[in-house]
Amino acid sequence: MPVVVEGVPELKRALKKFAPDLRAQMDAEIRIALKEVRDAARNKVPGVPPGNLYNWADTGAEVNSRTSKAREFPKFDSTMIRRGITYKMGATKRNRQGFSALYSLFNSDAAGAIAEWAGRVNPGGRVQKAGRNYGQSSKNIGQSNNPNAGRIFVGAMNGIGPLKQYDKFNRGRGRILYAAYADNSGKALDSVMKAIDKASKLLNYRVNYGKAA
Amino acid sequence: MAIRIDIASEFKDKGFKQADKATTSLQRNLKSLGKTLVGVLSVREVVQFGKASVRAFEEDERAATRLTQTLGNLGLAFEDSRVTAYIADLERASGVLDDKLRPAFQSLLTTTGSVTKAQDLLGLALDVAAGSGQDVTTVAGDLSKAYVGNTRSLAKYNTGLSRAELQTANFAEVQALLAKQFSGQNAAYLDTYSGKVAVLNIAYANMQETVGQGLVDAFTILQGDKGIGGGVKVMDGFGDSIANTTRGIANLIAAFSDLRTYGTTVFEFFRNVDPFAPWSAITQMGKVKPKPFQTPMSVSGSTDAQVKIDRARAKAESDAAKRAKELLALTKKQVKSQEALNKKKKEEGILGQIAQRFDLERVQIAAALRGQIDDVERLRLELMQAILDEDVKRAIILEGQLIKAEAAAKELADLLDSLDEMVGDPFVDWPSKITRIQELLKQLNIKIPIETLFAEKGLRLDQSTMSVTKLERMDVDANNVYINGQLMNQNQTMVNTGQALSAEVWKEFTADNPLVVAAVENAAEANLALADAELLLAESLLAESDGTIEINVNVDGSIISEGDLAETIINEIYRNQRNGTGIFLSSVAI
Repeated sequence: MPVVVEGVPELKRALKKFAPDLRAQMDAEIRIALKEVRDAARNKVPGVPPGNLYNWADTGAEVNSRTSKAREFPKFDSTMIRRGITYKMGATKRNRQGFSALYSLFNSDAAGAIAEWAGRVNPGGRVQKAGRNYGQSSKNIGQSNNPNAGRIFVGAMNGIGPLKQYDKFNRGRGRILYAAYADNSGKALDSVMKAIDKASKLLNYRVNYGKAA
Repeated sequence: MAIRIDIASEFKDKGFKQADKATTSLQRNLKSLGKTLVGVLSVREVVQFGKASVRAFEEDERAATRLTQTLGNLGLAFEDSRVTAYIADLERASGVLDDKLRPAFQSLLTTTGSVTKAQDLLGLALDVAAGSGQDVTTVAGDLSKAYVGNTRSLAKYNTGLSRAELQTANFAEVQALLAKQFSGQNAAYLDTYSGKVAVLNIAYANMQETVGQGLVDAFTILQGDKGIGGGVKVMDGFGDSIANTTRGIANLIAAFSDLRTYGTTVFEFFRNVDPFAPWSAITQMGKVKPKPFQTPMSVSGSTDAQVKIDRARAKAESDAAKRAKELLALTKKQVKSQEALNKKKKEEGILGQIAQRFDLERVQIAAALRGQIDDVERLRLELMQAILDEDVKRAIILEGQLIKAEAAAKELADLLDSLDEMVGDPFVDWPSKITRIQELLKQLNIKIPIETLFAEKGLRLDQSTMSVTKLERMDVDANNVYINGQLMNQNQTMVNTGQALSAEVWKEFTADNPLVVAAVENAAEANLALADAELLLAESLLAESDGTIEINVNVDGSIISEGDLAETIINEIYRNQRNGTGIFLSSVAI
């Protein structure tokens, strides 16, 4: 009776049990591909806040929230941002559409996420409290007294680099991780797929012929 | 919320549990498969190892025998023990199996005829093989070919020499280059993990061969002094052998009934009987009897054997060196003759290529242009002369000039041919066309005036306004005929009916040249009478006709350029708009 292993997590499990060396080899190859993107993204993070926004830099002082939200606006700390740019080798849980990501790249720092995404919806910056028109809803507007605050901030973020789109959807636009992945031009994905394919073929060979390839 | 990029997502349907079940099932199956395999492999592997060992021994022995035979054929049989020891040492030192070293050495030895030279080259072959990734046998084969002048196969080692350089290089140069490029590669390889594994593999292979030899010997003893066809077959037919042995014992017993052998057998049995191990007598009887030594032996000359070997070796080496010198001289000679041949071929190729230009089509073109394209004709004739003279250098120069001249002539011919079409086109840029024709005439050294060329096409060229019109009548008279580029009857005026004065005549006329003025006046009077006659003829023709009059309208000169036309249309539209005149169909009353 033929035994069929379906799916990459299952393949990984099978490799772990029956060919741990192949599993290690596959993981190493994938790790190299992901690290390339991660390092490129980390290199895009400037040492100081872009656009000379020196008040955004993390000086270590305690920060209080100035809005109704409990969490304060995060400070820019390049070390923390770089540390937050990482990858994950494990598959995620299946989402509602039935898809599970096999490998993921992360930009998990809050300030890093702001620098990544700022200006995606409002390229000229959000409307601020000070610049609000009469009758305009106060929902989703900035709380700055400077009406140009949003424009200045987005302009400063563009100093990191332009928003680059890594897939065909508008949501896939960013300056740091997304831009690094876009610059990678699918090489990482290709390497991952090749590593999986190689490992599956080798496992198949070993199971069928009982020898190391 | 962290920003995330998902790589290589996988669609997982509701069958996750099924997949899990399948994995568990796979685990169980593989486990049971593993257990089964362990049980089976323990016996199977031993049998396979035995088979492989016997096969390895056979191949090794066959290769060794082949090499020994080659040595014998080359008159180097006395080197056999030295070569065997060398191969064994080299195998351990290089990490390359003797199965590969022997054929490699054999090919080098056959080519060079010298054991020393073959050893040198085999060392080089090992380095090249380690450096290039090729098999040592292949490299040795390539070196052997190169030794006799065939260096083509060395191209794959990326020596940095072109194919032509490889062909002309002698073997010493090639050897030096390869040694420089690949020196120490094998030693470096042995330092690597892979190299160490290769050395281990050799130990394993040697062990396998030794085991194989033991197995073959064992079965040889079992089969008696007739030997065995193949150890593997015997191993496969081991059961049959046991059955046959049983039958053999029965036959042996039966043999006792034969009185002729009875006495001998009994005597031998009791001679071997050991009182403490009576069965050993049967074992002793089964031992292979040594064959009598048939080669005649002589003690004479044994004292100077080494001297003889040394002499033979020196002779073989000197023969090989002589052969190498001959090969080198031959290679040089070949290179020289090849170079001469290449040069000749190249020259023939050039001449052939140029000679192709004189095909029928080109001759026809030349004939069509004859009388006008003097320069082309001159070049063509000169080139033909150069080909007949086999003057390659001059032929090449003339060919280049001819190509240029032909291109110019073709362009001029095309321009003149297209004049008829152009004259009806109001957008033609006549000044540039006329200038180009003049340039081409000058370039080709054609002395025919441009007006004449236009007149032959039924056109009148006015150089002062750079315009071209159709001639109302084509008058070919003495004034319009030129021979060898010279205008005939230069003293006469060029006044034709309905034609304006030519620029030259007009110049003389305005300069009050009395001769020209008189001529023009005379011509005018003559033309007047002719014109009157024509008028009468025209009127009579009109009267005879049915009243239908065909009117041909000629557009004189370039009326406007494309850009000017567009601008004019736009201005007209603006003007209409200013006047309130509609420009669209809907606004015009129909």
